[in-house]
Amino acid sequence: MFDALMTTAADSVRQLQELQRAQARLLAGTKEDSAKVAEPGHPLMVPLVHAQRYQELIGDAASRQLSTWQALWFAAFKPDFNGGLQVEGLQMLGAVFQRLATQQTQFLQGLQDIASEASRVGKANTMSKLMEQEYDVSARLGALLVGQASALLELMESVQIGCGYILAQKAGADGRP
Amino acid sequence: MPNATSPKAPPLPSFKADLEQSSVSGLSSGAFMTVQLHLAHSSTFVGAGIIAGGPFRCAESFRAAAAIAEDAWTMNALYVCMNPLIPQTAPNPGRLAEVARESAANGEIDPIENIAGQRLYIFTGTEDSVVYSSVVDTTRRFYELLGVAPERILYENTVPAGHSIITDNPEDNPLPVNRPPYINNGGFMQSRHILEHIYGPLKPPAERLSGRIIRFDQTEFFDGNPRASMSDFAYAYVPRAVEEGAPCRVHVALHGCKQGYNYVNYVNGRPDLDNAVPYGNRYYTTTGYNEMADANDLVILYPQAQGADDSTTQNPDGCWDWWGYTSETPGNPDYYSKKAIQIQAIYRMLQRLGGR
Repeated sequence: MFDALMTTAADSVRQLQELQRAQARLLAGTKEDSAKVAEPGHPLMVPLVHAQRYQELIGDAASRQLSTWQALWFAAFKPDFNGGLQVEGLQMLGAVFQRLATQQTQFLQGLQDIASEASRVGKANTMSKLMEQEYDVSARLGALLVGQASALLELMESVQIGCGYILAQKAGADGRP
Repeated sequence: MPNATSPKAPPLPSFKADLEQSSVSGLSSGAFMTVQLHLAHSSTFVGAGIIAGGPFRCAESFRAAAAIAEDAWTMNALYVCMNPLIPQTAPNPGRLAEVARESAANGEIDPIENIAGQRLYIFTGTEDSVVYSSVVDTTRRFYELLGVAPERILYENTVPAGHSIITDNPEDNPLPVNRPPYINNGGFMQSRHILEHIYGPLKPPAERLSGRIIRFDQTEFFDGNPRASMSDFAYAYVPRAVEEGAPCRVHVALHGCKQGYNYVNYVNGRPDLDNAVPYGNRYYTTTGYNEMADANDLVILYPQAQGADDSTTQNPDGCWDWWGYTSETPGNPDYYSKKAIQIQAIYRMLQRLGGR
């Protein structure tokens, strides 16, 4: 039963990847056609390109998750498969918590710094300088939030890659060069 | 960014260089590139210095990381070759040693047998949060698996340094930090340690330089192809005696990311051309290589990479290519081989220095 589910999952991954490739080809064709009426890189094409790239990356994340489960299933049947995976899983969990804690500390420190700077904004002799100072605080806050979000996404990708890589090595199917 | 209005610099001159005595070192992306260049042309080198770099072709460790090959290599570079979550998710040195042997068998790089007799300096700082020590551990193991005897490898992994090349300049960053220009003050010149390990006892560094830094046109070595992500100009330190005809050896020093002379920071996705970083010339002037070169008739070659972040090249930090961004066929990348555009360019510079 589980085997059948894994086969279905593997098929889904393949289909997802084929769909991505087909979309890429379609988009490439669209670009060529559109070149007749619009210059390459025309602003009208930008949202389409971005939407496709977003879909590709989301698809990649989903296919990595499926591949990880698939590799886990196949690795479980390897004769030399042992409990080492549990230890590595715990180590990964520990590493994730450590990085989350570091990110949280850095984020809070960043907030404190901004609050501290905002409370002692320097003297402004002109309206333009005053406006710059006000903007600087909100810009720093925005940068901090974006940085935190990026760090979380990086961690998510890192966990996906790490799990998949370990399991692929155990299953002997890492697709090495 | 290329400066289109600059006149061309003079071409790189030739000297009486014994190319069979060449060596190479680098920091970070320069260290990853050092490993690749070293393996690709191992018949030319006698040793290498690797500061915070991973093993050969580690960016291809896990193809299933993404559907599109170049996305997979980028993710491998970030999450396997730079900061793996745990040591088990770092590069697999045994597997990559096999890959290196296969690459040699295919004629993509020089025979692996050249490596065994060479000398390696490998360094990782205990405070490095950019390229983790667990990765650099695998670089050491990788070379051992290629046949380099442990006593020929100087592996330094106890210094509390951040991601950096270490100097004794008071104006450089504090030792444990991880920030540009990635040149930290640890009270010693790491370049001297590298050169002395590779070449054996050398004369102490010159207190006053007799030679000069030459600027040369780098574009002729990659035919001006923007795919190379290399700058218009590069530099070499030439001792006076060498310029007057003395025989010499060549050491290639490869900077890391954000360390090229024309590195420009990207702000909100745009190159911040109004605020050029003030340290672009530090790697080729203040890291101590030139003083050692002056006293020991070495020419130090400083090739320069530059940033690009567009639809074809994702290299905003001006890193050397160790994950395939210059490859024309990302599914079957060539960035590690003798045919790689950057490796070819640097090798051509070496040949010129030797009068070939």
